Amino acid sequence: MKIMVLSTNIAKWGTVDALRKEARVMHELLCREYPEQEVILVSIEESLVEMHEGFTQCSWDKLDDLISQYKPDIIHIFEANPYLLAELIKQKQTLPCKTVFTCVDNDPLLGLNKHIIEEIVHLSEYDECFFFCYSDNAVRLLKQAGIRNVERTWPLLDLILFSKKNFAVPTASEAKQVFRFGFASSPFQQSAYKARGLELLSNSLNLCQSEIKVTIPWRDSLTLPPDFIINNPKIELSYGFIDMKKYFDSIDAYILPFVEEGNNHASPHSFWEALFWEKPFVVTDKTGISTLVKEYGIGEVVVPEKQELAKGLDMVCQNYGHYKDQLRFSKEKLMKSILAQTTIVEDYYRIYESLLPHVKSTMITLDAWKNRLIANDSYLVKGTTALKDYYSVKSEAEAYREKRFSNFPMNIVNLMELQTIDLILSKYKNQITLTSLQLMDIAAGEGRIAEVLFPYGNVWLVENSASMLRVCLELLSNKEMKTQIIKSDFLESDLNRFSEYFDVITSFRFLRHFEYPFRQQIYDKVKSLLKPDGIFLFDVPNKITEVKLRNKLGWENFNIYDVFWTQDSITRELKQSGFDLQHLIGIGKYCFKEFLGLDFNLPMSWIAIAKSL
Amino acid sequence: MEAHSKPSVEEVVNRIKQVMYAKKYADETMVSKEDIISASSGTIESNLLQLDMEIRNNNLKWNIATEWIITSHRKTIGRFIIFGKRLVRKFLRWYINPLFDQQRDFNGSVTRSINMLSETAHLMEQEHHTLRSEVENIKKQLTELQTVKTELQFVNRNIDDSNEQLMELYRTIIYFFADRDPELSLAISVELFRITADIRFSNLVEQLNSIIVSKELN
Repeated sequence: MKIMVLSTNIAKWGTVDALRKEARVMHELLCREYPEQEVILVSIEESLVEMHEGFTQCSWDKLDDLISQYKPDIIHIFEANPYLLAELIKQKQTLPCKTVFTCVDNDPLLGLNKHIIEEIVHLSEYDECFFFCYSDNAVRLLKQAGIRNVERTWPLLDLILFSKKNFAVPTASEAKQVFRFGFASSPFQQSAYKARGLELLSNSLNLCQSEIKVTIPWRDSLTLPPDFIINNPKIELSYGFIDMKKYFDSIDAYILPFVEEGNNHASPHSFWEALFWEKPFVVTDKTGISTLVKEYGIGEVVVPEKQELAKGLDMVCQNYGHYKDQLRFSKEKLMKSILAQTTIVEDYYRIYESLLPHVKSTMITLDAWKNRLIANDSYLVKGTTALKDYYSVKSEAEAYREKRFSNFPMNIVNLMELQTIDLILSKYKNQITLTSLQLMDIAAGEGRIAEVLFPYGNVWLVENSASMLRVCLELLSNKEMKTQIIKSDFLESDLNRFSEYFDVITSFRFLRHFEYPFRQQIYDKVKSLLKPDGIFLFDVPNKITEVKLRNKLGWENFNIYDVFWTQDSITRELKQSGFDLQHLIGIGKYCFKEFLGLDFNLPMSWIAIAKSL
Repeated sequence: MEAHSKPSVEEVVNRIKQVMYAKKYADETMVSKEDIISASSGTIESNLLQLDMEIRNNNLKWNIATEWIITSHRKTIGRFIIFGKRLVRKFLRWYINPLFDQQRDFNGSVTRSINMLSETAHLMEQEHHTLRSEVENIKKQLTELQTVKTELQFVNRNIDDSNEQLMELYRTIIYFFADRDPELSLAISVELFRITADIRFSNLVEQLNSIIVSKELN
């Protein structure tokens, strides 16, 4: 495997800035832990400087050349946010290779426009890229935007400070006349002063009842501290490099007064250093690690207002012993995760491997797909409203089955799919020994799946399209079946009265059309409707097969947005959504020899059997 | 006029030969014409033959002779009789000759037309002949094709039989591996269904899928 660790301005800020340090540490760890792999560290520099050891410098306009020359399997980017993705796909049909982003910012989408976010969501849906963040907040924001592939991880610190000889922390006097707080995350640029909370810190110090001083080691950069910091008598400044051990020896507690989520590291290195030196914390809730402070009770978490911050500072001063005890109690557990860098790198490596299945299939970008459709006088049906409109067209409903399942290979796929559902239901019914099941088919369409469900009990069909329902009712009119029809959009319908009512819920050719946030809503709703032992059956299109098929037939011939999965990604998604994937049963093996060649043993899709966790 | 009054010996001999030939030819054709009609009347060839004869006759007779040699066998008064007849003819020439000229023109035109029609009829007859031979060829080929068709039907029956045997062989292979390697059997069944669209193979697909899925579920 060829891995390119990519960041920016390592030559310029590599020794002082956290994310650049992390990129270097990552490179070193990968080389150490996986010596059989080829790993390169690349830094994009605004202006190329003299050669640096250990990494390759590259200008923005030469990045493409470098990538095509090196041909990496994985590009692992360390940046505040994933803006580099736009750079990587500029005027291209696909990403150059699978891409992993470690987004260090607490708001990784800040400043990105809608178009880039939509593209990121799309590429993440198809496992072309994966995201790691350092805080629950950052993970939440990415998921909220629809990005499925997100995991939380820990920053890769320079561990020299945490060496064993430093592990015995001197016990500081707990009764103090003047409390000294430290703040070692001074900003690089004036634009970040506000977000970093300098003004808030300065204003709140004047409101504190306790005698407090704050020591700020100002980074050796082009910017000078603002006047209100310089002129505040309660703030002491030092400039240039300092001995961090001495610095932490000299302070009693640590403060992170961030005012905004964006423009701030989600897990500042100084927090971990302060934790190591057992310094209680005062942090705002905009700080990524505030959840840890709260969870372990190692300090105060406040809203970013001067009165609140002042109160927090006083609280720590007054309850210093308590926080110190909490720190001593939690330190080892907390430090364990950050010091286990091999585990962190192993997690990254696991994702690299999961992104690189044995059969290569690269998804095209959303832009490229849309452009091909436009050139073909068509458009992409994407999103719930567009989808609803599309399927409410009468001709589409009437021709649905004929159009999709009448010819080889889809006739065989259909046969396998219906038979497999039948076998699953038969086995399930035997297991739970009920004479009659309560079954629901979401987006029942023209009743293709419903026909298999009827022999097993009472069937509820949820369908929003009147045209589809008309076709369905025509089909059912000749059969005596226990059927209830709910004409409604599943996501919008009020189904509270059916809480834990159904033994089986099926959903075919439905879930795949929705983006991750909507899928989560569907999972949540299904979970609430299922009995504790109930099963959820749905189809999972196989990414490798679908992409190969579409590459052969032309993306311009596929105008409905579909999501595809790998076995890994569906397992991950279901776990994230509170489901346990019990089985994935392949459908349509050997049916697509024409398109898949030697990989024709891959299934076209799977039927997933999932139970609530 | 002088020529008419005193024809040369050569003229007289030619004229005699002409008349004799015409008479003789007319007699001959009359005989052969009847024979032909009786032999093959109604066919295009016989009609054309008859037409040719009539045309030859037309071509000999269209030119009507308005003046002929006036003779007399009387020794003494013969000369006067000839003179008298010639005189009468001379006096009547202004009246009779224009009518004969008209008739001659008409005869010439009709004869030419018939000649042309005859030529056309002959050409058409040739074409007809060619077409008939072609039709004959086609008929011959058709007969040969019928023979080939019969042979092909036989070969097809053989192929069908072989195919059926081959399908049976495949089915045996599919059944043989159904338990040991159902995936292999499924792959073969799907492929055979793709090629033949034979419902027996879709049934096999169903059976094998059932085996595979049941195994997976257990």
